[in-house]
Amino acid sequence: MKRIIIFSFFIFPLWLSGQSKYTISGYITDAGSGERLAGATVYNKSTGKGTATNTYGFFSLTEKEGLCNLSFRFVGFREHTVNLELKNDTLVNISLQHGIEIDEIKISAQRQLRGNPELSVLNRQQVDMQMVESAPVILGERDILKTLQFMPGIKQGAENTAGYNVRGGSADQNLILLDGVPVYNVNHLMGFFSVFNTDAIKSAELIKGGIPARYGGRLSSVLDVTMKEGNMKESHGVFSISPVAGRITYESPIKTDTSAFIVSLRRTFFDLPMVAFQKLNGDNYNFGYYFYDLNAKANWKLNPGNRLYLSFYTGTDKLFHNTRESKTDKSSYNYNWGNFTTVLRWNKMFSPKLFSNLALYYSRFNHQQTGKAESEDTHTLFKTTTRLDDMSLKADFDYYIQPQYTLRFGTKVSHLTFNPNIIQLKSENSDVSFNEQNSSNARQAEIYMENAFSFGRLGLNIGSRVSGYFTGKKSYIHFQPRFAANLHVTPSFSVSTSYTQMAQNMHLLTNSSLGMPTDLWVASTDRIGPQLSSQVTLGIAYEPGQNFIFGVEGYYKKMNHVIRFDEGVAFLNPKESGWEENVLVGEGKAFGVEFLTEKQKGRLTGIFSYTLSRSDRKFDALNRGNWFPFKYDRRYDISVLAEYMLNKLYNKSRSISVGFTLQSGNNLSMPDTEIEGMLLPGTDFADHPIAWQNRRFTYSNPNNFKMPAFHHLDLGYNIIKKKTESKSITWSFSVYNVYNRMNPWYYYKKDGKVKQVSVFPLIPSVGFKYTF
Amino acid sequence: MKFKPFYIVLLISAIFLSCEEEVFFSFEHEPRLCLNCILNPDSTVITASLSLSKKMDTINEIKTISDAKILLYEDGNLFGQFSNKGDGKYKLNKVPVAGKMYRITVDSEEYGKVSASTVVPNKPEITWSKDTVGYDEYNLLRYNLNVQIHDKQGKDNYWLYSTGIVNGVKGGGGGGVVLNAPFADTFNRRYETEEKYGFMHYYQIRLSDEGYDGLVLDFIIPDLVPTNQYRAKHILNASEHYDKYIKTSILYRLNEEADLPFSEPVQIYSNIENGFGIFGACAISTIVL
Repeated sequence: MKRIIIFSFFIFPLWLSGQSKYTISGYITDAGSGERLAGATVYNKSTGKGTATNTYGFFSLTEKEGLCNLSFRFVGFREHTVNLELKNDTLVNISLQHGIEIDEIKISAQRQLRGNPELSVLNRQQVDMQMVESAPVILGERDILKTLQFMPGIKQGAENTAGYNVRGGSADQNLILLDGVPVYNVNHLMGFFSVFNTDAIKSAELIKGGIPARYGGRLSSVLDVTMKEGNMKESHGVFSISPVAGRITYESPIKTDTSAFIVSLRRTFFDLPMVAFQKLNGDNYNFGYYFYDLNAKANWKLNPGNRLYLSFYTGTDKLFHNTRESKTDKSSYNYNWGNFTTVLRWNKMFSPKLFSNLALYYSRFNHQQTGKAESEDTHTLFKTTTRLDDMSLKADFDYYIQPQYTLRFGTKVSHLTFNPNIIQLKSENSDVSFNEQNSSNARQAEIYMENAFSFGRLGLNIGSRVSGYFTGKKSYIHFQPRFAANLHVTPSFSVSTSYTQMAQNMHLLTNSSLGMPTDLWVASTDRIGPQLSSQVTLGIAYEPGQNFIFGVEGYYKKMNHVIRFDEGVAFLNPKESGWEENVLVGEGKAFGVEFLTEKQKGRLTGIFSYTLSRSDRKFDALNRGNWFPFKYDRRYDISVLAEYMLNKLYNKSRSISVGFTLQSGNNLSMPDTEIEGMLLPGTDFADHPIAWQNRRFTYSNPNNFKMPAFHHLDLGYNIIKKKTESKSITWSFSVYNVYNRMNPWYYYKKDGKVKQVSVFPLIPSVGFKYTF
Repeated sequence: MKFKPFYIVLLISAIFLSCEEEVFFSFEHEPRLCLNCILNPDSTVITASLSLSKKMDTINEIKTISDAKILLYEDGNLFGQFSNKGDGKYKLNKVPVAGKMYRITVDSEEYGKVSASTVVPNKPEITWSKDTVGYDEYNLLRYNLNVQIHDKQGKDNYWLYSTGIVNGVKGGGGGGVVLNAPFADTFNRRYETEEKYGFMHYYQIRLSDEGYDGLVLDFIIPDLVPTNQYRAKHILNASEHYDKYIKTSILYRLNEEADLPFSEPVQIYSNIENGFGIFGACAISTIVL
């Protein structure tokens, strides 16, 4: 049966391509900047057929010879129409002007033309960058990941951290891409801020169900973040400042309408006044902390069918402490972690129907602690290094065979190097390294095929991804079928379902107590295999008009080979044993229902989401092999994010924004039971047995204690003053945690007492942005 | 704008203020039976203690249960019924046999039933010798104790501990033994630069035959000092469940003592179905020095 299905996938495209038609293809761009628009719709009013642009702004529509009345549309832009007599394959490049659509035309048809029409509104969520810019945030730092956490099914880890859990999965099960390159650590300052500088970001999309075959490598979700490409028409820039950091972004054509670049830098300035003060004070030490992000991108239109992109990102957190007692007597401590990614991409149009994206990328996450001490006689060094290198080559093809059928296929090969927690101790007499046996290399090869069908009201995506992971000692091959379907029963009402299997070849070892940069990415080995999951979803959506979206979706997810540290393991302890001896392998399951209400137009816009869910884990070596609640098993989650436009004039607009979250608390393992204990071997012989051994303190199951409900209300007020067409000033005022709820961030036990740590009280902030 | 200076002051004072406070939780707790019983073929009496679990941080003592019926089965056949000695203590004058499977059942009218199973391990087969090292800086003659455990096929977990009498006072436990061997479990090893090997094991030393099954586990206990008083080294072969119980007890204690709260929490192991405690077995070989 499997062979018949595979055979059909190969024959079907040939059968469909046998009909004689012509293809209209091209790119849709922003007239103001030349940026390509992903998800713009192309609709032929003459035939009622249409399509949408892909991630790179490319579209392809095959029609019969004759008159075509084409409509090009995108949210926030004016419709553009083109009438042409189709006699041969035609290249049409369209630039859309900014503006508001003034009429609703075939809303349902437009809706069905959007990218990934087979996915429900709850499975695929486009992050509204306008919402990101206006949402009230802590200390004025806009953050895509924190705005995402208002969506149903997406939950934060600890309070105000960028790490998130999707549908009962753990944070490492989310694939986060920046221009197609995986970013392995998205946390600044223990996760309080993410690495994404919103001034440099064009769009972001999260898929958490029905994940198409072109994505792979993580179990729970894909967050696809795209950087701006650079303005091909004229120079522009943004300068912004918040209580935490300053940002500057500059974009400009290199050659008008041919090539452009963008550079964006963000840096905190906690350390600058501190170091200056310490120097002026004549202190013999200095200490401080800072982080920065640097994004850069350039692109060239070589010719109508070829375009090159070069992207680059680097970001680092640095904690430092230097002491100088004398000329020869000094010590230093540095704690750094950060990412480096770079990608060279080539978009090539092989034919009006065949588009390709070839990419070569490198991604690195590096985390290092260095302690040095020097005197006249001694030089000592303590250094720990964790590093993950990912070098990959991938090719993706979109083959627009028919308006109803698009075939996507591709391949990727990767070379991965893992160096988790390598410790070096060096002095005059010795040079010792630990954990070098933990280093490993692996190779990965993947191919996929996606068949995207659009039969009137029915959108289907049937595909599969095959991944091969080779550790040297063992090979893992996984076949991952993917299926998604969305049926518009009526133009406003749709039913959707999906089934996906995913494989994840790497694991993030994280201490269950805190989210730290010391979290270790490790490779699957011959002993610890890849994680696997299967997920099924079923949902309905109601979209009356263009203004509202109502959605309900249920899901069930099963996970295998999930790992965690063994009991008692502390990642800060240097250990001679490899990490494999310190982890447990088990299973997970999660199910729930998500509700979404979204208002997209009018003075008041925003979303209301509610999630009711459960997530459990099971490890043979824990809890006698019984299921127990996952740490981030939050039974309910209510989130509201809204913006109300007070007024919107040509040169001034004011709005207020509200963010509210109410969630049941995380789970912790907290001893709650006292029992009689047995003396350890030998102590029963002693005249004075040790008192603590007569008692034991334990809990009936891991994660037995649910922290109190977490809730906070944030308010924001934004004023945008437009000086000229291209210059504007934005003032943003926000208050985080308006009613000063001291949500518990962490619990720990010391000297028999339970201590609660809360971090975020009421925090007002103001931010300033100048666009030029 | 007039309020700008106000906002600047607010900004400067808007820093992270972490707040720590002691909290008290009221946990729901249903008392359950806690059974502790370790079988040892070298002992002519089997002892069990039965009590109730209680909510933590309450001042009342642990309640013992003295009216339960406790039965022991050997390979499915009734081996004996424990007699009640009061104060939650029960005794059975029988000798368990290595290699046999034992099942214990407890029936309390008021608190229900619990049960557990275990297999009695074999006595460790050991050989040993002494090597004189020489005099140390205190002019004490030191020797090394060379020990070989002749492991049998099958999973075994050994615990090394000492007992002794010093000036009439009995002492014992796993502390104070320094050992460097590849089969020594590192779960409770912590780096201590002043120690002979740069580390020490806290509370007990566990030796695992994983990777050494059926082989000889050869190790040295270094730098011992001769004495006229009683002193012995013991190698205890723990059953699977007892082994986990000892290990989790030590891990829990280490977590309690740790300076930083970064260790994974530990649940004290129990193989008692529907209850707490441990039903395990061990066999001990002793080296009297």
